[in-house]
Amino acid sequence: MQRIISHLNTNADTFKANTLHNLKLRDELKEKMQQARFNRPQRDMDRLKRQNKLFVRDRIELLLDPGTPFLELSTLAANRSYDGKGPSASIITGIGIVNGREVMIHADDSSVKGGAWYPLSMKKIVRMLDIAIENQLPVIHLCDSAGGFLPMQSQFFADRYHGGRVFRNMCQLSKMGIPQLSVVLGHCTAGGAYIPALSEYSVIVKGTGAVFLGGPPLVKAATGEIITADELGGCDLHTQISGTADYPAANEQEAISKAREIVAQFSRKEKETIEQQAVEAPYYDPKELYGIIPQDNRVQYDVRELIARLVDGSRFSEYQPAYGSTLVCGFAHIWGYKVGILGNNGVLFNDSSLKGAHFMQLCNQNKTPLVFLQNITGFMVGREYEQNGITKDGAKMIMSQACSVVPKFTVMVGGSFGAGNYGMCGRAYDSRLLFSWPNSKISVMGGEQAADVLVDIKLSQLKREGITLSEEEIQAIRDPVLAEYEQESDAYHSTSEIWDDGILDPIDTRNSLGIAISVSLNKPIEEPNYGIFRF
Amino acid sequence: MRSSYKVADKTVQAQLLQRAETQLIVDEKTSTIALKALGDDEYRVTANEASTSAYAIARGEQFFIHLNGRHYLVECEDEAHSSAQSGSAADKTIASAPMPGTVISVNVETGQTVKENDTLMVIESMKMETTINAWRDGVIATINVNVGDSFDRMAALIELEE
Repeated sequence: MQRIISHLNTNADTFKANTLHNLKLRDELKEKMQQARFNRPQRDMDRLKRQNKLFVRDRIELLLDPGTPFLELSTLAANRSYDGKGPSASIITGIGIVNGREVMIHADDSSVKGGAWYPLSMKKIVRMLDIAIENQLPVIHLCDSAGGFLPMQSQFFADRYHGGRVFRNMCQLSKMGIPQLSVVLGHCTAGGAYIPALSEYSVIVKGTGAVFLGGPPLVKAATGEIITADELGGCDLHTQISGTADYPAANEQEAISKAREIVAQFSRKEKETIEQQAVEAPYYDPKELYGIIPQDNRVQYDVRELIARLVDGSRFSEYQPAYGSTLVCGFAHIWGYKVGILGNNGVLFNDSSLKGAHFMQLCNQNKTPLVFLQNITGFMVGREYEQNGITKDGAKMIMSQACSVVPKFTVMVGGSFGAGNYGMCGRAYDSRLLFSWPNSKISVMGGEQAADVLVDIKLSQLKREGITLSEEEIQAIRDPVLAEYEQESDAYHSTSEIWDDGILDPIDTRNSLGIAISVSLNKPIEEPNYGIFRF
Repeated sequence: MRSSYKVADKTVQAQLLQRAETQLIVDEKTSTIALKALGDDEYRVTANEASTSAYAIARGEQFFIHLNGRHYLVECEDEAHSSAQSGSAADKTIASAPMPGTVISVNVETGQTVKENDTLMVIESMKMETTINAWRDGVIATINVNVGDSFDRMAALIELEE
């Protein structure tokens, strides 16, 4: 396969300026991650110690095979909610290796509000289970939660993707034959009690672990019975009398080594086979990505320069190199796995949309997973393009993408606007995993365009009433719209709302995709099948 | 198709054949060979019953080989690339607009000499700034648009002398 020939000038001023800018973005990201992971009030850490509990990060460390990667998901979930006081939405999720098996891990963080679940915590658990279902991954729950954060119950309890979905998804996993294991390290109260109860296996720590539908305060309020948590739903009660939990453990260390032993009994299913070859590092240094990503997302650059720094040997077999040049399509390998890559090199026109639709069909036909590098301002607008059927050609691309049966992965590498987000496999299209870069932006249209549209509407309303506005008054309408767009379109907002599975330092993209592809192959790939394409 | 390799500026066609014994065909000559890795990048090479030791290190498509007291650089040429004809960009004189838009900046003047990949102008369309670069070395013949101008798709933006 031919190597991409990079035209990047690493001595150019723009390269150096971009590098400085993007390293700053990376440092900001690392700092925010570090804060979310480890910055806790001292009194909460002291309380954990008093309770004889380990910090959630140490529990995960003990559980994982030493020296293996852990792909943590949505570390910055809820970073823009709850006054920033719910780091990682008080839940840690991620994909790791336990006794040689790929597993999904869900761990409650009781150093944040006693591990209470906020609305976004619920969303994060549901998403974690969706990923487990889509990739047929066993799940290990490290349970230590006070239950739902009651003041916000209306935002996480009753709706389709709220609390109930957690347990519905657990049942679906079990029905598919994918085992789950709960390690009860703290309280599992109310709904949370169903997590160990619905798991195939469970371990509970004596003294600190407890499972009950109603905790001591609720029992007292309901029946007047005064009882300790341990008497009500502790280790002895559940492992000796009720049979709700399977294995007793004297302390957290024993519970986690028991968990590792249980996982070692899971039978490993054969993975789907796709084209694979010996792994080769990218020929061009991935660190150069920092110099490629422009400081302003409006500035266009050749997406092949990104591809060259993500794929094995920087080799890329480009499909239709001379047609529909604003969408670059082609085959490459990532960590040895063959993939089909679609990357934007400008607006989607009729030809680029058709090319994308056709290319995705090729990938479905030969079982090649799809990687979308999304940097798209949208499908082209205007009479000439409508006349040529830009809407129905875009619809073909969306149909081909939405009906793809091969695993899909999306990386938001720049802008993501309007229907471009749909065609290029945005969140709604079930990418197995979707990552963002710190520079990326998502919104239904560009901020400037939205402000212009709103000003136009306002002006024509007022014109009917015979009122005209001064430049300053117009500016006063525009500015708040622009500011809101700026705030709500950036990557930290997306990741806070769990529109992605996490923000990546660009140079970690190759490794993250490698893990994602490996995990996706746990699920067999179906035969291709589509809806009706409008020709 | 045989693979082609560049050895000391000479291109040779070569192919390994795994038959009862391993055969190496270089240009039209066939030899029976055997290769055994001895570790630390050292190999025992046997060709037509003569045997010697060699060192080899690969870096991408380049191989650095030390054999019989001499160094060789062998480069593997990509099949599709080595068969390709030279491009047609050289004949083109006009840069046409890839889509309707407006001109953000014009970075050259008429009569100016430019090199391939030099920035000629920047246009904006659909919230994206696109740079029009020189597709070959040349001299600017005409510039048909000014900063702020709007243009249609396929409009001739800038021309190089033939």
